[in-house]
Amino acid sequence: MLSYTIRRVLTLIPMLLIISFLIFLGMELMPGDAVSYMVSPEQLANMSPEKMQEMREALGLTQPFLVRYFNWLFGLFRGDFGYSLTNGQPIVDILKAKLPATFELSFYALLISTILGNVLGILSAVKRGGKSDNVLTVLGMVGVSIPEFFFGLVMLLIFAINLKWLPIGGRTMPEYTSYWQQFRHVIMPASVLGISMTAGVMRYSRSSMLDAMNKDFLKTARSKGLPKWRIYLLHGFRVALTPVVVLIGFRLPMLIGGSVVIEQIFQWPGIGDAFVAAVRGSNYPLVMMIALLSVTMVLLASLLVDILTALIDPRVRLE
Amino acid sequence: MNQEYIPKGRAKTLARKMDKIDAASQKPAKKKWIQNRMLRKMLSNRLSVIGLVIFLVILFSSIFASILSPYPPGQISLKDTLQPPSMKHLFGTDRLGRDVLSRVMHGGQVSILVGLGSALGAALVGVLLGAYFGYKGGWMDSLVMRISEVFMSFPQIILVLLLVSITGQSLANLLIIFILTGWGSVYRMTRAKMLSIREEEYVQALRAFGLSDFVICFKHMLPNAIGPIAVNITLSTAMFILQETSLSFLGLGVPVQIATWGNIINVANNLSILQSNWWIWLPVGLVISLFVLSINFIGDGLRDSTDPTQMG
Amino acid sequence: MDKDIVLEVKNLSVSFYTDQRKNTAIRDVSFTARRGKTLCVVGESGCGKSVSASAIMRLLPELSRIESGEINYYGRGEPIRMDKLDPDGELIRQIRGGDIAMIFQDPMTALNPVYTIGYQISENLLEHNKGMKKSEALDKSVQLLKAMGIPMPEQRVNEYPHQFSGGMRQRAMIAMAMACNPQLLLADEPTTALDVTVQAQIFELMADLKTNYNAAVILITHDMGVVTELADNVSVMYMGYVVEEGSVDEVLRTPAHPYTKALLSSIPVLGRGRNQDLQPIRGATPDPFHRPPGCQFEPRCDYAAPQCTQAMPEREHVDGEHYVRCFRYKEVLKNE
Repeated sequence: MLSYTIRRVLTLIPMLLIISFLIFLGMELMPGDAVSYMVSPEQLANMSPEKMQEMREALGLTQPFLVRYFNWLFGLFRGDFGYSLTNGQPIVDILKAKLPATFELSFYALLISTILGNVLGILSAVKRGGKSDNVLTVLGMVGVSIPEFFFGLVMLLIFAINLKWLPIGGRTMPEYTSYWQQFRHVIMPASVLGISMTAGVMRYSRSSMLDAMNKDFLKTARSKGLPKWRIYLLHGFRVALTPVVVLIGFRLPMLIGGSVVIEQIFQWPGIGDAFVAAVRGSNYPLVMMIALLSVTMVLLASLLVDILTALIDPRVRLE
Repeated sequence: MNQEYIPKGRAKTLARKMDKIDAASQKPAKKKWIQNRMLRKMLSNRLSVIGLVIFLVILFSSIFASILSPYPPGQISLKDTLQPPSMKHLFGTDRLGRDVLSRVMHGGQVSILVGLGSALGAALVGVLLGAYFGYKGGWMDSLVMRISEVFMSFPQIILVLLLVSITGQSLANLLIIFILTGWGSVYRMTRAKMLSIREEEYVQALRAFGLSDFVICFKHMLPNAIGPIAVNITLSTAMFILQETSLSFLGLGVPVQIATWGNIINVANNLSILQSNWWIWLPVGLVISLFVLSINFIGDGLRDSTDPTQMG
Repeated sequence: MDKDIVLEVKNLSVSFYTDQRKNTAIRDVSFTARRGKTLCVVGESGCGKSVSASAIMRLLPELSRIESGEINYYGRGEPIRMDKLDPDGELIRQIRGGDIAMIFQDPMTALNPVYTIGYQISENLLEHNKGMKKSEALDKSVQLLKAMGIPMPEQRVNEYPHQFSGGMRQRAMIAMAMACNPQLLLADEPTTALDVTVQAQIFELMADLKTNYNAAVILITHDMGVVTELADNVSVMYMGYVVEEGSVDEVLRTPAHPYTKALLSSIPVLGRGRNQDLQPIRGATPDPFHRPPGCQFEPRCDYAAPQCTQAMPEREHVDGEHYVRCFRYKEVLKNE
């Protein structure tokens, strides 16, 4: 297991190096002086040209390209992500402030889509060819066809504007004293994001459940006289679980992509919101850093999925 | 103890299905009007027929928008602003008094163009690279594979927005960006297919005849992969349309001056419009959903009918 | 009524409804399983022998059903009409695994890869012995594995199927089947997927089971060699029909159906030297959707006569337990 993990981590490193290199290349090619996003703007404002040149040398900007790349890379490990172009805030601080909100949203969305998607997918598989299966299949296709933002807008209109059950947007208010009050804000964005991802999960868990149900060992389980729930859940779903876990990893890119749009609609102060703002304001350092961060998260998630798969499926573990 | 078992629920449905097949098997077989098995299967799939009808209706009303639409899309009429739907304006008017229906019809042209164009472009790049390098193998193949991995490890919308921020907003840029970010999946699929076909004996035979790699690859092998490629093009058209509308909704897609579905719905960012002028954004949202749904129905039917493992 | 009879199948027909077509896979099949005896059901693949086993267990796939006939189970005192039970009901579940156990062809796929062998055996024990503790079930599993000749059962009980060799897996599968002392063991080609040397061991084990547990065994096989080794009674199936049945002596020594005869002359017999005249059966099994109109074996039969193209012959009594479905069985017997 350990050697498997190590091997898997080792395949990740070249990928991250390539991508970080591309990101660095992108930043180098961007208009503007590199000093401007490596030094805080206050310092930059009262700096003479000579000082600037000194600064460049001190920062290593006159060094060859590759050396600069590695300096930058090691800076990342020390938490030195550079500065935002628009307000001079260190990017680390921006990320620190925005990440919790995105994690909160993603957590609930993942929870909703996992539970809903698997329950409906199993139901669909068990009733395959039946009326409920057909209805769920069509619903699933409707689900992937409605743009997330449109779905979000309709929800917003119904539950926040007309019924006034839930707040229109934001994440929290200064006067809140408990998480419960704040929780009302996350319900809608998380539901919209979660439900729009459910269709994919459902489709996947249906097919992997069907796959498991065609296996010989399911017939063995039936031949033992086990009750239906035991056959479907402990034998069928337990085996179908492996691909379902894989799907959690696959959903991460969707989650990040979805949160970009959803956070806009519900004014959720997360990374996606910051990213859109940065793109609009041509705030390249922030754009690049968030892109790098999201790639790293996706790659780490796929790593985690592989390890989890190995834990669930004893066949992989022992290879 | 030995009570007669009467099937209920699902078992009953299945029993009825079996009765039906039993009854049909007594009768002589009907003559098949449509000889093509793939076409017949597709037409027997009710959803894909519905999809095809919706698709064609929306497609044609967009293509012929300049003839069919009641008003020019950009015609501003300041005395008719924010009119609710009426006989004069079926979908109402927007803040500048433009007819929403006409705008939706014209907007479809750009949105469909972006969706279909990007899907075809991505497929062209992906299929050419996947087919040739999948067949040839070697270091070039590994290199292209690595490049596609790099592209695909980004969440798509992040990469698209990143590129938009670098290149700036324009219709052509968007198309190029979509192709650049979208070729990976077609490429991988084609490549995998080619890898499996490569091992087949007829390919070995063609090689023994001394045919050129190009001919073997594109003339003899590629046609075998055409089914999944067609499905992929359909489904990625749907995806690109969704992406274009999402980006335009964020104000980062097609420049706002050009009417596209996403740009029309963009105004719903404004809470007062969202609340009191539903006709500006709700119909166009429905049109987008319906159009994408119809493509997905078609893609699904296409997938079933090109799947040779299913008899019928 | 013969007290040794555990299961009786009478005039059973089963149809499959796939791809919008009906295929009656077994037709008018009858056989009887007796305590302490092995009934071998022999036939080529696709002749319906496995379907019979699934039908008895009521484990037929969806879109297939018993059209007519009876399955009577006598293991619980009063007879139970198995074919009339709800296939997901309480009673059939008690019988499955408890009264009638099944062994499948491929032990590689018939065991669930994500659970330990011990878990899968215990599961059967716990299901049929209410109030049994998990630790007791695991102890019993160890005993069972030991009885089936698996070395180091205490250790192996906690291992996963993929850590077992093919033969060991089939032993574990048999241990699972025997867990609740079944009255009837249904073995569906239990050795087809195994090496020849391992096959012999498994058969030895099954012969022991029959005597030690006094169970009835129905062994489904395509291998005539297996029949000579293990069977007390034989049913020969072809295209869904039982074409010949009887005690092993009757069928093997005086085959009355041309198909049985052809089967016997197509396999080598040990001790008859290398100059045996082996004759493969000519032609191929017909497509089930384009069956011959009369006797199913007629197109391949050396004894075929004009009447054979008219209808499938009825079941006729030869002598003793020996029955056959052939118009010209007397000629077949005389030719011997």
